[in-house]
Formats: sequence, structure tokens, C-alpha cells
Amino acid sequence: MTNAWLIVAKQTYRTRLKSLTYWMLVLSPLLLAVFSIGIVLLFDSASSSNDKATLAIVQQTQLTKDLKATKALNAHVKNIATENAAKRQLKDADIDGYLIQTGDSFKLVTSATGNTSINKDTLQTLLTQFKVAAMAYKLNISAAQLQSLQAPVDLKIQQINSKDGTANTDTNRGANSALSIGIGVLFFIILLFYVQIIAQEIANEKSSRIMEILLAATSAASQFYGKIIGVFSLAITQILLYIIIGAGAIAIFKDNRIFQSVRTIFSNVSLSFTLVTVIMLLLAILMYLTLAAIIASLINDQSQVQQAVQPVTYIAMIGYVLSFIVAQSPHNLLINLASYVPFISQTLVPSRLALDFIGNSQAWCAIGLQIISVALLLKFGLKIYERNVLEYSDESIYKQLARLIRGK
Amino acid sequence: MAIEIKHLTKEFGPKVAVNDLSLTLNDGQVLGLIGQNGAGKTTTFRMLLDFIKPDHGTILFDGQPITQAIRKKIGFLPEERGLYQKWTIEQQMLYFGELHGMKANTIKSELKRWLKRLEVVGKPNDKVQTLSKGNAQKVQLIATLIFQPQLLILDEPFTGLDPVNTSLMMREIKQFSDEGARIIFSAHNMASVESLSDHLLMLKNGNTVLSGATNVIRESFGRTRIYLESPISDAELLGIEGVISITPSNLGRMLKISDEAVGRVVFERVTSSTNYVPAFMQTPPSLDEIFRTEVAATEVKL
Repeated sequence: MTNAWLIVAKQTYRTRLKSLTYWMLVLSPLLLAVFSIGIVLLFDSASSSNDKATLAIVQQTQLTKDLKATKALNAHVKNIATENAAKRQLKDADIDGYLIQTGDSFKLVTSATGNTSINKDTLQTLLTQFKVAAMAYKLNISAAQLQSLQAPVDLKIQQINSKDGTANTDTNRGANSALSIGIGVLFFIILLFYVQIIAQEIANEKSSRIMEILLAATSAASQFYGKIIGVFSLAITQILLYIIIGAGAIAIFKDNRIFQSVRTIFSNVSLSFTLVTVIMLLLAILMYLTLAAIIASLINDQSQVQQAVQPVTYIAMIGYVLSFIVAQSPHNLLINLASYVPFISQTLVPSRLALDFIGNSQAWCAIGLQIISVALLLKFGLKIYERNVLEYSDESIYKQLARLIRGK
Repeated sequence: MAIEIKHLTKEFGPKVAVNDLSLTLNDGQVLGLIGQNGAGKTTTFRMLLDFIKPDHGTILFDGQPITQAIRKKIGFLPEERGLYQKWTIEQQMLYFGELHGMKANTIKSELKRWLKRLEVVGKPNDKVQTLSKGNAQKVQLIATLIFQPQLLILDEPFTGLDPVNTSLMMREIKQFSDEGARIIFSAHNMASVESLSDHLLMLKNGNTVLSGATNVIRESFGRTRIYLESPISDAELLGIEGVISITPSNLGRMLKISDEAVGRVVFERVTSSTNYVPAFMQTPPSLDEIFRTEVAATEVKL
């Protein structure tokens, strides 16, 4: 004999898995990722192509030689006899620009129609170096003396990583706070999506009075847990897909230059970070689903779904907003305490872990608290659901909730 | 599945929804539950289905409280009907059927049989929202019956049905009771209760007003009604002692008499050698009459 809750869960899962909205949610972050990677690769290939600009230098053999030698200027450099010859070649598009010295200043002439450009800042730096070298030569300063004159004061900036003592640079910091905000946004969207699904499911069955037929065949517990498990399975499917696709991408691109530089930037994104993040997200989804199911049991008709989802949205919003504050004032006492509060911790803990403000032990402590609240919510939520799912009250959802909270 | 309800009481705050209700329903019996709105019919069904717990009393199915296995054999038609509008007929049946322990293949073949039997205009793959109201009602009935329930609980099954579906519903209820299923249904329409149920329970404000076999209840009010087709004048009839009132009815008149014995006097008066009498029928009051005059108007306790 198959368990009734399993049939309910399977039915919910199958129906929603076939829906377009589910796949839009699942695929949109992937498409966004593919799109951004594509753009990065495109720029990368454009800049590394052999299509270098050609720069002609009028009557300056020494400068031509120096510019060729530095290779800093990403261009072909050649000497040209006269300005007129340069103008002609520029017109014929044989060169992309020419450089001419008049007295102490230089002039760079480029074609407006040319599609390859010469980096002006680099050129200016190189020209300054050339000028300084020429002056130094005039003043009898040796190359070694010149170098020591030009050397800047050495100021090293270093932060020690609490976990393994490795250095954390500014690039890492920026990337990780972007990651923490990204987690906040993504989790917010995912949570709201599943909250919306379960609220709709219950509201549809309750408002169409199918609930009575279902409850006659099963029980309130089978319905309550079956629905939660069915929708939760959708979330697990989504996360599993991301893990598989992510692991596949890593396997394919592991030798890629850009991938490796990204990897150095996100040095805190380790296996244990991923594990903590995924577990916390799953527990949070379970928690929000249960809460949404309880509130949805108060609904009379479909039009009240938004009203029911709203209080849950506000709670999710707290975590979302706080994840922005994490990057700004990481050691705020409020943030520190909120990291342990279920319903909020799922965004704060991964964010602070990414930024290295807390260690794994604190993260597992927050997970423990999540597990306790999920268990309590599932247990006591059933009682509220059972009592309300067949009651059709004229009161608004908020009034009913207020009454529930007062314990009447 | 014999059902025994003993001393069932349910209160909602100060209001007593059901008060000390007891009844027994044996194999093949059909019980009609009658009462005005708020009489306690739906509350009784909800306690039977274990949606709510009674404050006092017990409900036993074949001697034991409700279990998951028993639920699977109960077909329930709620007062307010509902189907998944965006699902196909087959999808609903697969889900409801599976919840009642049926195999997918059996459900599919049974569905085809039922669609034909109830003459539903629609295919298994049609979405419910595309069906006409009458056809959707038939599909709702199929959803209640497809798994061959042994106990049928029908809350106002005839409300909102067109005449075709009303007679289909009656036919299926009779069929199921002939096959040995137990049926409890509630109704406003006394004609349906009279023709279908062999037992009835009348509730008023949660109290049991009448309970027992339908014909016994009717007889208990005495044969105080005479349907008469005869040329004799109203004045002459009213002149007989014990004739209370005369109302036109169909081709003849309905006489209300003070007690059964008056019937004999009326019979002798109208059947003189010169009078031809096409109809003389002395009956107890109809259930409808009992309900309206005896129960709805005054508190009658038996």
C-alpha cells in the first residue's frame, strides 16, 4: 500500500515539473551565467587577436627601437621618413596612426574610421619614459640610478584569512562581497518562487473545494507533508541541476585562463563553503514552504494568494536587505546575532563565510538552529493547517494570522 | 461496512452543532439526512470523515474507528463541488483513483466505461474547464464512484443538477445500494429522499427530530390524507365530521382528516351507487409535508 503523502508529493512534483514557469526559474540564472561568460570570452578573444594596430613614427629611429623593444604598446611600430608619407599611408589604411614630434611635444594622428585603436595612456607613459631616459642620458645619470630614483615607496596591503592564514587581497574582498550580495538576491528569488508555488497549490485546492475530496481520501497530515515534500523536491531538483552543471563546467574549463583567475579571486569558495550554502538554502526553503503552507491554509479564494504570501515575503526581505549590510559593516552586532536567526541566517551565513567573517563552526551552529526550527514548524504547523484548511473565514488573512498569533 | 454512531455531540463555542446523535447503518441501506441549513448535516459528515473530532460519542466502521484503509473505501461528494479546472479528466481520475488505492491501468479502463455509462460528451484527454456544466457534474460523480466505494457520503447530491443528471444520480445511488454499498446523503428535496432512502434522519438545530425507517416514520403520522377524484362537492365533504381541509391536487383534491377512522366515513359517502370514483387513496402525509408542517414549523420530538 503506497503512502498517501507520497502520492500527493509525486502528483505535485510531476505537475509542476511540466510547467513552463518552473523551467524559466531554473534556467534563467544559467542563461545569465552563460551569457556573462560568453561576453567575457568574446572580449578576451578580441583583445588577444593578432589584429594589432600599426603605428608609424616619423623620423625617430631611437624611439621606434625603444617602443618595439618594450612590447607594452600592443601595436606594430615602424619608422617612416616623412609626415606626408605617413598621411598617405594612413589614408590608404596601411597604418592605423602616426606619431610626430614637434619640439618637446608629440602628436598622435589616427584615422577616425579605423577599427583598431592605440592605447593612448600606455603610449603617453612610454613617451614619458623615453623622455626621462633621454634627459638622464644628457645629465649623466646611470640606468641604475634612474631606476632607484623612479622606484615608488613600497606599501603592501595584506589581510590574514582567519581560516587558513592565506592572504586575502582587495580583489578578493570586492569579488566576495559581490558574491555575498549575489547570494542574497538569488536566495530571495528562489525562496519567493517556491513560497508562491505552494501557496497557489493549497489555495487552488481549498478555494475549489477539492480539498474536501482529498481529505476524505487521505488525511490533513498526508496533504500537508505531501505538498511540502513535493514542492521541496522541485527545489532539490533545481539545486542538483546547478551542482551537476557547475561541476561539468568546472571539469571542462578547468585549464581555461579566465576560469583560473576567477578561481583565485573567489578563493573562499571552497567545497565546505558550497556544502554549508546548499544545506542552508535547502533548510531555508523547507522552512519557508512550511510557513507558506500554514498561512495558505487560511485562504478562502485564489485572490488571497498574494495576501498570504506577503508576510512570508517580508521575512525573506529581512535576510535580503541584511546581506547588503554585511559587505558594509561586517562586524555589526545585529548582523552577528541575525546570523543565527532561522529564516534570515540562510543569506547571512554564506555571505559572511564568503567574506571570511565567520568560520565553519558558527555556520554549523546556525544550521543546527535551522534544523530545530524546521522540525518545530512542521510539527506545530500541521495543527494549525488541520484546523483551518476546511474553514472558510470571512476575515482577512492578516486578521486570522493575528488571531492565530494571539493563540485564539 | 456497517456504521454505528453513538451519542455524537459537537459544540462550536456556545452553539451545539450536533446533539447526542445516534444511528446505525447496515449493508445496502440508504440513509437520507434531512434538515434545514444549519441543522448539523455537514458537521455530521465532517465528523464521519474525521475532518473534525466530536466532543463526545463514537463513530465505528465495522466496529473500529476510521483508518487509512477505511478512508480508501469511502466515496465523498462535497456540497460545493470542485475539480482541477486545468487538468484533463484522466489526470483527475488518476490522482483521485490512486489516492483510493487503484492502479493506473484499472483507472484508465474504468474511466472509459464510466464516460460511456453516464454518456459524458468528452474524451479522457479533455480539460475539465472545456466541459459543459452538465458534463462537469457527471465527471464529478465519476470521481466519487470510480473506485467502487463501499460507503458513499453525498452532501446535497442533487443540488444544482439538471433533471437528466438528477435521474442519473438517482440511478447510480440505487445501483450502488443494490450492490451492497452503504449510502448516506443529505437533501432539501424530499421527493428524492422519499424515493431513495429506506432510512431517514431529520435534524433540527443539531437535535434529532425523526429517525428510523422511512415508511415507519410516515405511518407513525397516521393515514390522515385522502387523495380523491369524485364529483361530490367541497361543501358536502366539509360537512363530514373530521374533515379538516380540502386543497386541489392534480386532477382531484387532497383531504386532510383528523384521524384514520374518518377515511372510512368519507369512503362510504363518496362511493354511493350513482357515483363513479376513479381515485380514492388514503395515505400518511408525505415526507415533504412532515418536514414543512410538522418539523420546520414546530418542535416535534419522537
